[in-house]
Amino acid sequence: MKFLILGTYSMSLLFYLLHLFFNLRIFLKTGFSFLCLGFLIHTLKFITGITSPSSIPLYYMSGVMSFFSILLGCVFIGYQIRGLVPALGYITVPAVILFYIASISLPQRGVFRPELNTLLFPIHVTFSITGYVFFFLSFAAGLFYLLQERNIKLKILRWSPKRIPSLVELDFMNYRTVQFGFTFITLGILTGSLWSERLWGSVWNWDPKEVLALLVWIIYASYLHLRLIAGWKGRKSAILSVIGFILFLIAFFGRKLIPGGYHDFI
Amino acid sequence: MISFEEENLLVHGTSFRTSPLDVREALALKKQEEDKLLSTIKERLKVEECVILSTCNRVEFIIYRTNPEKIIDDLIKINEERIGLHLEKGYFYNFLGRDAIKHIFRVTSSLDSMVIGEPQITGQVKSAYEVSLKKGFVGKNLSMVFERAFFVAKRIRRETALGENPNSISSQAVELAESIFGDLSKRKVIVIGTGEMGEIAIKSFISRGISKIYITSRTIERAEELCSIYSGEVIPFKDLYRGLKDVDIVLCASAAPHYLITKNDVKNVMKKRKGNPIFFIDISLPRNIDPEVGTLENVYLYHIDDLQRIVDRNIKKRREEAIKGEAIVEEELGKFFRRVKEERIGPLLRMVYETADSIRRTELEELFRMLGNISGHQKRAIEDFSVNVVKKILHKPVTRIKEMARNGESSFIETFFTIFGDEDEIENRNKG
Repeated sequence: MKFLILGTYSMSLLFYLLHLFFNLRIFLKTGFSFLCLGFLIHTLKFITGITSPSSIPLYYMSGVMSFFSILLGCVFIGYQIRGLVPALGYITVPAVILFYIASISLPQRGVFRPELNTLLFPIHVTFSITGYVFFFLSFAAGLFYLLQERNIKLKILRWSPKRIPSLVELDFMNYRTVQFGFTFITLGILTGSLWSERLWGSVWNWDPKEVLALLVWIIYASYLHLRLIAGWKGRKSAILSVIGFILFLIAFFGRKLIPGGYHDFI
Repeated sequence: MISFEEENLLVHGTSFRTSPLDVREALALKKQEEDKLLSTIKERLKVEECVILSTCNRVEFIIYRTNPEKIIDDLIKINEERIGLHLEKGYFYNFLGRDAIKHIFRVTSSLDSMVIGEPQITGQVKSAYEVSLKKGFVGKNLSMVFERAFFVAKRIRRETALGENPNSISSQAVELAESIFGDLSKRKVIVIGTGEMGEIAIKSFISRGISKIYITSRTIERAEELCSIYSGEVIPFKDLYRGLKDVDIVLCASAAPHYLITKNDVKNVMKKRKGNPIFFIDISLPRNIDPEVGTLENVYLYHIDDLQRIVDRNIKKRREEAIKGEAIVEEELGKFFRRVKEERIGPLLRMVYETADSIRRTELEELFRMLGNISGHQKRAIEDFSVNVVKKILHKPVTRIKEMARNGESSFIETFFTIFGDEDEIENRNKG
């Protein structure tokens, strides 16, 4: 099953890359079809794997990675169906694969901690992951924006507007995804602290993961604030969204390097 | 039945390669002349099928008739009578057979255009073809050639980047605007100055559906004149800076001896624009916009020299893509002829199938009569069986004969039909 999913995703990537180099619509369509297929099989496997509380994947790092990969695929498929920026697939599909590979190379089950098994916990994880999926898309849009903007400023025109969305469209997508991401991540933090309060009796524990998440939250909050108040659009916004996502990656993976803390299960 | 014979096809024409502009202008066909000229050619020259393509760069007569090479002189004569001028033979080129088809493919795909890859020509060929089709001057032969030519043009557009890179300064400017803003239908442009280059650029922006055009100039009369042509709005020159706050694209085609827009001006304007990007196009010589303007954030500035450099590179790229296009034309020519040969035996194959089927039906009736009372289910089973036997027996010889037809092995084909084709003979064999 693992290899079927990995194979389907890889085929999708192959066709997206072919589209990048040869610009034939058929490649894009095939790549997209493989992505949808991979997404379906992956989701099915994810859901059918749940047979008891201790088998809920969200309790383990591997499952969270897998869930990220699924949600990223899902949101991107939604975007592409609405005809928006298929070119983002060049970045998104590799990310879907990377997160999937991470999920299958980590130990499938850790120690099951029964105290995690409350309704609030999966809600907290789902909100947070959805938020980060949108942040990833804003990161991708921001990256494209920075590349395209640089090309236009330096007067080297590499991409025709038929292939890469315009600066204004990329900027708007960057903004929209940050809005969505911010909403979800705020809900994620709120549900997380509620749950923490029930479990440990306090809403905030200055756990390293909590602090990093707060930092990410502050970056995106300032993104939205500066955009509304100071007219930060385009390049500055794009840079902020890229920094925000890199910080998230550090929070998510680098956190493992700092020992201790309450949040050490994920 | 397709009876396409390649030697019956002629392209007689003149283009920017063979004749001066005034000759082409005189030859260009007016709308009201189409009918008359087509009828004249058809009647006087006994032409079966004819399409006339007339654009500003070429006039071509695509003709299908037996021995078309014999009417070339008459075609020139008809045109001389029509325009009342003497025409040199050397102005015209003539392509016959395979060369003619290749020429039609190349013209339709814009490989033969003055500006290689320009998109209009495909549409022009299409409408010339449709005019003839509607009036009954196109039959199955030319329609086969033209339908294929449209397919080839589409394929080349899809598989190469022939039409992708703009080849003129104004279209490059528009494409840059699209790289920044996307859809231009909600965007506003302000044009400074009323020179010829400015007017060309205005037209390009209108063709992409720009929502609003403001024109400003020191000579207000000319600005008003342009505004009435392109339904724009005049802005007094002194209000230029106020205008910059609201527009997305600034096109400067003025002839001032100094900078009209400086870095400081734009810096102040940008504060009021809330970070919305602005695109300056300076096509004036000397520059009328300070090059430093382009260093500001969310401000993009292109000078005419920048645009020219990009366009030169694009044209080079187009030539490279044209080589790929030519290869596709060759490939499609091969396919076209294989199809013609294959389809030529189509009616004969149909005859074979029909003969076999009529035998099957007669025999089946005979059998049912002999068997007497059998159930509908059994009848159907026997009928299916008979159909399958006929299909399977004919399948291999028919596939082989199609292959032979594609390869042009005509002697085998004849043998095949002396065996299978003649109805009486088959019946005789049956009786025997």
